[in-house]
Amino acid sequence: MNIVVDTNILFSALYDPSSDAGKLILFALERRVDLFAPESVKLELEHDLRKKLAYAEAEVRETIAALPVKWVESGAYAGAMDIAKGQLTHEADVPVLACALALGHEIVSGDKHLLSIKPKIARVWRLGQLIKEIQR
Amino acid sequence: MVTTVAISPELAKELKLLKMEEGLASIDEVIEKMLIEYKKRRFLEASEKFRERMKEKGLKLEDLTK
Repeated sequence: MNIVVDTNILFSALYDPSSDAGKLILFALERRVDLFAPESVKLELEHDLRKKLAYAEAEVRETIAALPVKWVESGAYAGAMDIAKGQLTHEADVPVLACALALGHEIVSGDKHLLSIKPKIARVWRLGQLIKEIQR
Repeated sequence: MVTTVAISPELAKELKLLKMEEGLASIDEVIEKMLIEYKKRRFLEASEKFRERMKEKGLKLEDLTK
């Protein structure tokens, strides 16, 4: 199962590994699910770790390396950005949808904008639903 | 497809022993399980640091997940 994640899922997992977001990361480490994210998500994580939490560069690198996520370069989903922009008003979510569309993967998010996407465009899982599906 | 890695005889002996103790089918499986456990520990350490730093900075999760 290939799933695109957003920044909130990754921060939530780091904050509480026993949460559903944390469980998703542990499932990915066990190779029960493959996680992907656009490089914009990686840049946002790096930015917040540096600016809001005063992480040193080595700490940023270690944290990013600890996340079992395949980072997708912007060139790989650039062609889907226009379609994604047409579906979302919240700009920060656009690369997540574009990445999912370009790769043909599904999304997991708690974000109301992403959750409002029509199923014919992309399947967006709520975290709790996805965890149940993986555990089935 | 398989490949070869060079390890000391002592380490090879330990891996074989672990394979028997854990009832695993191959050394490949032993190494894979060890890698998963190593990566889990690395993630949990990153998580611990993350929570500590958030506490130091007086931040809540909501401050990062707007």
